[in-house]
Amino acid sequence: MEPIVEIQNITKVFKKINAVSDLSFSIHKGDVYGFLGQNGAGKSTTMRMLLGLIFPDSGRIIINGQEFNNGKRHLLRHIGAIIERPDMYGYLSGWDNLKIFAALTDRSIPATRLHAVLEQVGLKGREKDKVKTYSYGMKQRLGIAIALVHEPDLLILDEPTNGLDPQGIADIRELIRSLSRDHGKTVLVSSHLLHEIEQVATRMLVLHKGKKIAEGMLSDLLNPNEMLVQVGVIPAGQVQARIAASSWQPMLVGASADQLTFKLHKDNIPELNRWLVMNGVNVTEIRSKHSLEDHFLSLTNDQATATRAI
Amino acid sequence: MIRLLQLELYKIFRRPRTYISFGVVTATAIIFQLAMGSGGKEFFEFGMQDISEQFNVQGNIINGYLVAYLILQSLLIQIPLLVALVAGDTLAGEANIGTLRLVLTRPITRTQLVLIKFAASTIYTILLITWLAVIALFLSLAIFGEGDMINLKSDAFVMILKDDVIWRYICAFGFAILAMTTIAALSMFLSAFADNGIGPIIATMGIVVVLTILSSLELPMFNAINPYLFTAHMVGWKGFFDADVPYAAIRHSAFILLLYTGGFLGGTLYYFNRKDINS
Repeated sequence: MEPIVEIQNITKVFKKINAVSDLSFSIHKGDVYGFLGQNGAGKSTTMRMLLGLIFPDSGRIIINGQEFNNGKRHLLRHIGAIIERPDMYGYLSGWDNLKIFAALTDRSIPATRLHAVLEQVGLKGREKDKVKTYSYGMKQRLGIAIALVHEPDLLILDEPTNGLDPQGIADIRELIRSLSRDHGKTVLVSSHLLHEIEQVATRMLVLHKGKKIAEGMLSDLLNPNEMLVQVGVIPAGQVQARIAASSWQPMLVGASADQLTFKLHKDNIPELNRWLVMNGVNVTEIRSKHSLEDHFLSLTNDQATATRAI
Repeated sequence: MIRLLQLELYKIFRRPRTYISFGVVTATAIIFQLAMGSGGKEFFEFGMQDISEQFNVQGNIINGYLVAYLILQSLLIQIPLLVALVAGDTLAGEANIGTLRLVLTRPITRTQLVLIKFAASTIYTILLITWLAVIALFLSLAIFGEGDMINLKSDAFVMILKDDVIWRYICAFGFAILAMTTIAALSMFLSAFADNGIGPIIATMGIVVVLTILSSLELPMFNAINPYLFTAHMVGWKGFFDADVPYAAIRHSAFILLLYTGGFLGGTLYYFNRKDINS
């Protein structure tokens, strides 16, 4: 399938700091592409480069098969975006804001489309109020309406759930799913709240200190062969000496007073349980974890360790 | 482009700050008119004391034309500030509130954006000067009536017959628009470098004040650069109130101002088209 966006080896340096290093990835039609990384990982910088807000020092950005640069800003007609905060003209109404940003395209957008998009984001009835009276969540919705109004193929949402209450987060999450499922939109969504990405993304990229450390389908990245297994034991102290002398030692990744944590294949869980019981350890619970957050943290920690080793 | 310009003007004229300028012009003019109404005669006698023995001036001396001229003289520094208040905020103000980021995610070029904002700032300048003309000239004429205009200069005074005045004002206001458009271009140029509107406004005023002082200093070391300072040419409108209008000098001043305007606008386009938007 032809990618909507291709990023090829882009690099951006700010005052000797590598914000983004030799980054490449592609977003295909229909993807809900999760962009994961801690604060300062380079997510927003990459998104800004993709939108022509920041110019890369090297590399290429291709939108719908054409190389994008400052002379080809018309390609942005395929993209709708909200970067970081939903900042608008507070002294104008929501309707005026929407009308102004709708006019910043190369085609005329009818009022019916403006009404439809306000309906879609749940702001109908409040469009005549000044934006300075809106809550943060309403501003975020209006930002999404602005991003959607010219019917782009790709929607870029940078940390869209930041600052929202739980209901607001759930609403935005559902909106992203609906845009993909019901309207066929491709979405690039970033967050450092990893469980948010986990719930909406079909593909994802993990960015750490400006470098890509993982990319692929969500199911692939979850790596079913390795799980974090937490074993509740009484007491943990005595058994650690026995583990140290056994073949389980390389898999032990953490220990506290009443809990041991192993990183192992799920097929090994019954065997570990058996061994613990045979060695007189009282097992109170066994819990296997495999959230994206654990995986993300392990990826970024491994990367940090590798960087330190170098 | 027309649609975008309309929206830019809509944004400017929906901001309360925009009307501060019109309020300041109105208040200054009215205060001046009140002062001239109550003590204008004494003021005029004081100005004429050196030549009162040689000339006997009679008639409606404190008339609308003279009052308007005095108001324009007193607003030489304020009007550039009022123009900078809006023009200096065009790019930097949007960067400050974060909307520049959103604007530049849309499929319009940065050149288009700069040109639209410059056009909107120019229209605002035209409206402000037109308002100044209405308040300073036409209101003064309504209050003080018509009469021959006496232009008091440091080394002479010029008497202009009342039927010969109005065209001079029209030309003077036209020249003022050109001069203030140069200020708008300077403010916008500075605005491209900043991420909040206050910096460019203060910087514009700083430049205008320093260069005006340099222009007025009759020191040999500055004489060489004075003809090239735009501030030295901003007062070219006064030439229209000379007995013999120095058209060549006014044309030269207008050319210098146009050159500066083009330079500032070109500089804005060059820098803004290469600027990373981090705000």
